[in-house]
Amino acid sequence: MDTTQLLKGVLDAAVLAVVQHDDGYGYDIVRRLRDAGLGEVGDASVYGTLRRLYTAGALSSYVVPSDGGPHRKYYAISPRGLALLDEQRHDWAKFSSVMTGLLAEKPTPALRTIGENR
Amino acid sequence: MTTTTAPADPIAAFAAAVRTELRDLPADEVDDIVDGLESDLAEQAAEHGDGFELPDAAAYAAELRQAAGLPERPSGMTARQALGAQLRSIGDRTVRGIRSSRIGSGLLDFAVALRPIWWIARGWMLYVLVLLVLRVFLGLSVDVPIPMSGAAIAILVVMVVVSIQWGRGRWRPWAWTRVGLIVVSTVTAVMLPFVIGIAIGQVQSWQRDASAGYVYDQAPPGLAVDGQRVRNIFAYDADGNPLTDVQLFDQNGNPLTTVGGQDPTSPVDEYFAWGGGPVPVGVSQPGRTPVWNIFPLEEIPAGLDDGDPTLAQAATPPFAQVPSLQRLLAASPTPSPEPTEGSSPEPTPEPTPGATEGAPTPTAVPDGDAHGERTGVDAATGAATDDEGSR
Repeated sequence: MDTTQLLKGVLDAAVLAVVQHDDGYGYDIVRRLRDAGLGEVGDASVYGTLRRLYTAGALSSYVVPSDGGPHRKYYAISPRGLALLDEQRHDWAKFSSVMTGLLAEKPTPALRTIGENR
Repeated sequence: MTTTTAPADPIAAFAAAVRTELRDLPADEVDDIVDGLESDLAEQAAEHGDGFELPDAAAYAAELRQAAGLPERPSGMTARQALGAQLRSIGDRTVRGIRSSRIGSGLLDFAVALRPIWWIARGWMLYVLVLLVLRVFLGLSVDVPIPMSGAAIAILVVMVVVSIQWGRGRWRPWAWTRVGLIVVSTVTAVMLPFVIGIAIGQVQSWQRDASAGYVYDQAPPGLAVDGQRVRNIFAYDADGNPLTDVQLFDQNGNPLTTVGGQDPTSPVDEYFAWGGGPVPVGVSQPGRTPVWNIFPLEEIPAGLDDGDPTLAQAATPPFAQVPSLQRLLAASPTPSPEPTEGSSPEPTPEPTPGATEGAPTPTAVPDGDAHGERTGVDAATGAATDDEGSR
């Protein structure tokens, strides 16, 4: 399955999730997502998502001068972002359980009911 | 930036390329998005070492846009679209500037209200273009800029409808219609003054023709009463007897003629010639142009050769005699039936001998010393006129 398509729907939640405890800058966040197993995530998608969440008020940002290099823009989750994350966590739990149920393999003949035994 | 490792320059170039791709967006937003991009990429490059490859700037920008929920721009026309966006933003700024003043705002609203007129003008210009193309490629003679034939009018109507629909944002089936629209609008703006000038010239020439035709058609040349051409004039003296060889002049001293400005060398009244009826003939002498202000004029009777002035005879007056002024002024105000009764059976005394004699008319014969005689008659006419005036 093309996981990039799946990712599009949940990238907001994923980004919020990786910054909920620790502030981070753009590439830092990309790295966290990849380290967590979302290997296909594109930098630009993450940057765009950060931008959108920031515009929506789910993230706040601040600039930190880095030693010897250009400054870095850090993102921190806002109360609004936390609320959004909660909501998405809930939605995801529901959605994933439905999908899990749908995708579960058919009950095998091994699970026969009592009395069916011949 | 200068402290970063080797791929710094490619990274800077890449960031610039991404900025270019996002140029249609507000500058501060682009800054927000692209800020930190270079440092992130530099870090990424350092992490990956030699294996690091910069992505395609256009694809990267598109991905950024999509993820950030920014409006997409169709691929392939990026540079032109950026230019368009710049022009649009200049236009927006101009509009905002105009809107900021009360008068400017009012004028702008007024101009916006006039847009349909512009659409129609553009349709007209499309028509002119189409017809010019037809002329150039098919060699048709065309009505430009004012349609005259049914087909031309139909083309004009179609073009105006198309232009109006374009103006309303309809009927733009292809992407290039937009470009065509800009071209046509520009051409219209340039051509319109000239085409209007040509059209005005054409209308004026029509008006000239029409007014000339009007005079010709409605008012016959020569002397007319209520639009009816006067063929001949019969004068009677104070006693009610018909006069001959009466010279008439108008208030400016010009000979008063029935023929007016017709060809002065023509011996017959061309207005009546070839009409079958009696045709008045001017008083002619060889070597002189006919004289037309001596009345009554002789006439070529109906049915004879209209063009032969030698057939002319003295004209029959409508009344052999009319009431004398004395009677006319004394009697009850219904004089008209009276002379009719008296005149109809009685042949006119004066012209009859001339008519019976045929060939040269008697009135014309003494032309040599006619002037003396005529002034006498003239005096009599003058007296009659004075009487009229004294009434």
